[in-house]
Amino acid sequence: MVVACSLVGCAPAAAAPHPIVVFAAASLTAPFQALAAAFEQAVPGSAVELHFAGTPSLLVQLREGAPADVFAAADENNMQRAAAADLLVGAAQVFASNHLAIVVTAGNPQRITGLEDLARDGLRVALCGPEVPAGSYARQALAKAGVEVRSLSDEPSVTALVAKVRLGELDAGIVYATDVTDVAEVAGVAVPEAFDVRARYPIAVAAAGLQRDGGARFVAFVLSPAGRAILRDFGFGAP
Amino acid sequence: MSLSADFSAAAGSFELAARLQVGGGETVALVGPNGAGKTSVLRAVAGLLPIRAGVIRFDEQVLDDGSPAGFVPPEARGVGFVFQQPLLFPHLSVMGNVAFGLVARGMARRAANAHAAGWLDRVGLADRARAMPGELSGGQAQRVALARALATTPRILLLDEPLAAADATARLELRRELRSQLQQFAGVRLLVAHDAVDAFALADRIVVVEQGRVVQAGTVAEICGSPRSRYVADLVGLNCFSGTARDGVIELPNGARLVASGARDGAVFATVHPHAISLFRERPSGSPRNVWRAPVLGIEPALDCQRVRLGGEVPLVAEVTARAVSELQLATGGEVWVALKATEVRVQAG
Amino acid sequence: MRSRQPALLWLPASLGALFFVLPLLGLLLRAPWAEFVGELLSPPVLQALWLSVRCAALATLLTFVFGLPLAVWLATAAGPSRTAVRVLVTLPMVLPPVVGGVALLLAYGRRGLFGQWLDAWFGLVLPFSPVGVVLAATYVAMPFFVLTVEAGLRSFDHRYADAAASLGAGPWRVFTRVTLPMIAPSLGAGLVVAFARALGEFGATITFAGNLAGETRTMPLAVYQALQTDPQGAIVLSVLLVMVAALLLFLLRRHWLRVA
Repeated sequence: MVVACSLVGCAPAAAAPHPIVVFAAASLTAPFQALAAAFEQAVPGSAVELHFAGTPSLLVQLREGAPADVFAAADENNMQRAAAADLLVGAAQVFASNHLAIVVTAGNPQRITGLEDLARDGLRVALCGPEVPAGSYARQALAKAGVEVRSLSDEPSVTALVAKVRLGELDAGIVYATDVTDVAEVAGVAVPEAFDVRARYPIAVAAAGLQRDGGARFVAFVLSPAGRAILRDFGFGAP
Repeated sequence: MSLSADFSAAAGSFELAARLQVGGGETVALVGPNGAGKTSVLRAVAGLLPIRAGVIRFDEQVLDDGSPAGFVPPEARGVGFVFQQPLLFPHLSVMGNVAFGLVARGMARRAANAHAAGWLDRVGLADRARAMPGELSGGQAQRVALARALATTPRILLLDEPLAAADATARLELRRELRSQLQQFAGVRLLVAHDAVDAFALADRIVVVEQGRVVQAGTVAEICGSPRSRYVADLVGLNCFSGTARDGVIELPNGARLVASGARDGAVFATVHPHAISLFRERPSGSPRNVWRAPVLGIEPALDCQRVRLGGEVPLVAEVTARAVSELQLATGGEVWVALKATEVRVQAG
Repeated sequence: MRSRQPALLWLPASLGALFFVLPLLGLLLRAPWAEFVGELLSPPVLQALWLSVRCAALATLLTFVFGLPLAVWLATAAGPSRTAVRVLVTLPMVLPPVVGGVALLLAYGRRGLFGQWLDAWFGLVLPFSPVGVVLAATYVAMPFFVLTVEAGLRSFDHRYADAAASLGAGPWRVFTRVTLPMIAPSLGAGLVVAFARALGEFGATITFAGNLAGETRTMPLAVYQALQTDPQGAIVLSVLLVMVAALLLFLLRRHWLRVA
């Protein structure tokens, strides 16, 4: 066991205080890395440990007692489930929002201009699974637009979906606007305002953690103007 | 009808060069030490070991001439092969095993089974037709293997130490069985025997193979009368020496000398029959030209005599009566006078 | 082994055994047994189970048809080419299945090395189809079959083949009537292991074939999905998979679990 710890890097108990453990949705990977760095600079002596995964996966881990101090989800449904299971301290607050976008192959060879194009015959389209926030939003948007899409697969995350468009296996999919900006092989097609579903990202202090105060300070930092500025830099909208 | 083979082939770590001829109705036994290449000769004849050069021919048909075009595959050679182990197919019944070759050669299943039943009857195992090979004794299994090989009416019957797998009691019966089957078999018969008794009991002619070479070939009487190598001499129970003869005296490699009448000068191979050696308590007086004192290394009972192993410069085995052993008060560790007439040393060019 | 063993070994041995027992206990104790049968018979579960069984069976068939000749070649060939092919065939056993899935996409995907021609010539696109599931399962399962059968062939005593040839059997008859029946235990074990591995395949499947109910959502994918929305359902499915695996191991006991 001792060997295993030293090999995988168990936290040294006495040397430093416990880091603030943050569970964040996969789509928040880039902004939260920046947020953690800024927070550590603003609060000397603090340390933030980030864990990214699909929101439902994070929720499963929280249910099984993972010692997280902060939970940042990609949708409010999952956050409500966490609250209902007594996994949170205090109420969750929405700290950012995101738009939907249609991800297509770079150059848009299939000339997709809107949601209705996704129903076209012979077009290979997939969505995230309905349990994944992006998948749930995508289905809401399609319902608003009255478009029926035959999804080839319930992809487990937006990153998996984008990857398959990059590889050319799919012609299009629906993801977040922030997912398509930095990837060379794909482009984004905006979803018209009328059908768009704004993804709202809530954040809360988690009950199982060891750094409740630190968690609260990190949440406050994310909600502060400095935090919002960083989120805006990465393409996220105001709450 | 005859099989003629004159070929070389790679047999393990050495090159095998064999030359032999077997006529129809004749049984030839290959004898020789372990690893001499006897089995490889059979495998080459069967087509299981392609030869490198030379030719193997049955009558006018070339079975293998070292070229891919001249190679007849084993299934088309018309051979019957009885291996050291019975190698009965464990997933087939005894009947299925004997019928296997017949079905493989195109006979209908029903006819093949009837034929197989006949063969099982001939080897005395008609009642075991439905048994699985695992239920047979070693001797029974080898009889089934023999029936399986004979059932396909091969032109050439190859037997590789067919008695090796059987235990001592089954061996006698199996040897008898084999002899009667061999006599009824009209084709060419080639047998590998490790045991001299098997070879002598079953074969018309003997071919001695050592280190991949045929060193001697002839009838049983010829081989026994003048063995040309230590292996053959040991096989027939003779003492043998190789050395250099000069003026009727053979000098052995260790410097010891044997007087041998009629030895021609040069390298020679000499044999001495164990009966020809006389043992004495006191130094014998009289004519023997070879007299020396030797330690007794051991005394072993043989069929009708005692075999006395003697050490010293000229190691020998002498055969004397049990009475002589007690009269001479021979005992392991003691010494005895040895006398050997010069005329009893048989010499041939080495 | 009848010789005396150092008692010191038994402590880590028990811990090691416990390491495997506890997860199983966790599943069995947390399973909602009251709703077990109802959950099992629900249409989505039956659909996933039926799809899994069909795809695993087809993958096992492909494994047999292509894996057996491969095993024969590996058992007879020698030299660097054999080593190379052996490494290639073994690779999927040690690769993370997701990597296998990516590799399959790059080879047989719509833009893949080979897949682009399938699409261009026959309009055949393998990813996101049940055929893709079969392919992914075959990719991860075949190595187990090939290695098991190759080992069987290597321990096969070729003198039996010699005996059959001398009796007049050509190479094909020797192979089908002697070699194959005599290595039947290895063949059977290889097929069962391949089927079990195909049934449990997840990573390559979700990457290469996607995840769509009734089309490509096999049992393991259903477990993964259920875990995120309905953990109780996930446990039921997991227990079901454990039972199937246990059944397969039971079939294998003669070959793998029994000490000679």
